Amino acid sequence: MIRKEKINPDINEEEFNDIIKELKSLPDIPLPQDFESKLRNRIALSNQKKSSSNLAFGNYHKYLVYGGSFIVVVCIVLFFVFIFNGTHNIDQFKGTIDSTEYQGKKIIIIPPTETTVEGTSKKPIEKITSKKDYKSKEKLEEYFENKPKESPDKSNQIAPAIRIFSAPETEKSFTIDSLKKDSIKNKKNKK
Amino acid sequence: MIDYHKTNDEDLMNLFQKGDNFAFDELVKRYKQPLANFVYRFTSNYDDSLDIVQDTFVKVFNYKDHYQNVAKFSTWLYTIASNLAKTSIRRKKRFKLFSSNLFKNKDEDLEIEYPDNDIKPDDNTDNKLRAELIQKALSKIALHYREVVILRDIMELSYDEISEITKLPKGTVKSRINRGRLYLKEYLIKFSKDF
Repeated sequence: MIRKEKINPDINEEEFNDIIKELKSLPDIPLPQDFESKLRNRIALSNQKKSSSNLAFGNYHKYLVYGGSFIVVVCIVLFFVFIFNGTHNIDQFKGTIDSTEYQGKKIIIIPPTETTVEGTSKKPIEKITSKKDYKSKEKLEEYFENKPKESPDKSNQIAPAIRIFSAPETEKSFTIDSLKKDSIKNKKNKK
Repeated sequence: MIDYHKTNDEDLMNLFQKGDNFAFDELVKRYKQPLANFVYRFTSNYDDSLDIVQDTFVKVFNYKDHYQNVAKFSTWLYTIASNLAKTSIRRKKRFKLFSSNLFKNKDEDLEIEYPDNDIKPDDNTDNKLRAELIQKALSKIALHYREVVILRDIMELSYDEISEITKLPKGTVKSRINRGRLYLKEYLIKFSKDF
């Protein structure tokens, strides 16, 4: 068996002089006479392979890559559009949500939070800002009956949202004057 | 008129990169023999070594633009040949392992004898037996020792060149050469006794 113990890595050429001599004196390997012609054939073959593979794919393969990635992106976008369409806002208010009907429209009352509820293009939303302690359906109905013509100052509002399905196509904002969180006007009126 | 015989390797490669195929022919003439020696000593198989040498030149031809004039041409060439040789040896080893498992007899382990054309290119030499013995010993030492010993003692490359080809630090190359020689010596002694 050949020993495997640690060997001093320092070069000691003299120790191996005989072996080095023998290795250097090893004869050349005989090469076939047609070595160069075979080499030319091989090069020609490899070039042929290259060109045939280029012909098969042409320059179309790069367009295939672009096309493929475009299709993937479109699929992802469509997935999000169809799967999450109209389901994203209602669920997060489950348990705290309140709904009523007014003038044939279904109204969902979300308790006062600072969350903004966004609609989709198919189901536009009317946002109604109200006082923080607003709770009852009756007051809401009252509001719609005495709906103010102009939308007053929007400052100092917390945004509980009311979603009205089958609402007009444009997005509108209303503020309930009477329910507004102690605005300057209300303070004055109280006085 | 360019005298290709007097032009150095790097300039020839430069000419070849510009489309001069005569420069490539000259490079083939210069390196086919040393490359064949190197690969044969590495793989110990004559046919494989010829194939590898040809593949090396085909790669040089096809990837001529990958060569940068910062490195010596010979270093680049030996790197390609060495990588191809290693791949071939590993592939052969896998194949041997697979085939010996496939044809294994349940009752007794059959020893498959591989054709003896592996170690026989030194027919016309006086020291035929000695050369065969050295080749046998070379084929027994580990690949990473074999590579550096061949590059140093047969191809007579410098430590820097070997370090560049093997992508190893110079110190590692030196220590591997030393260990390789030691293993080679021990195998030679062993085979001489057996002979």
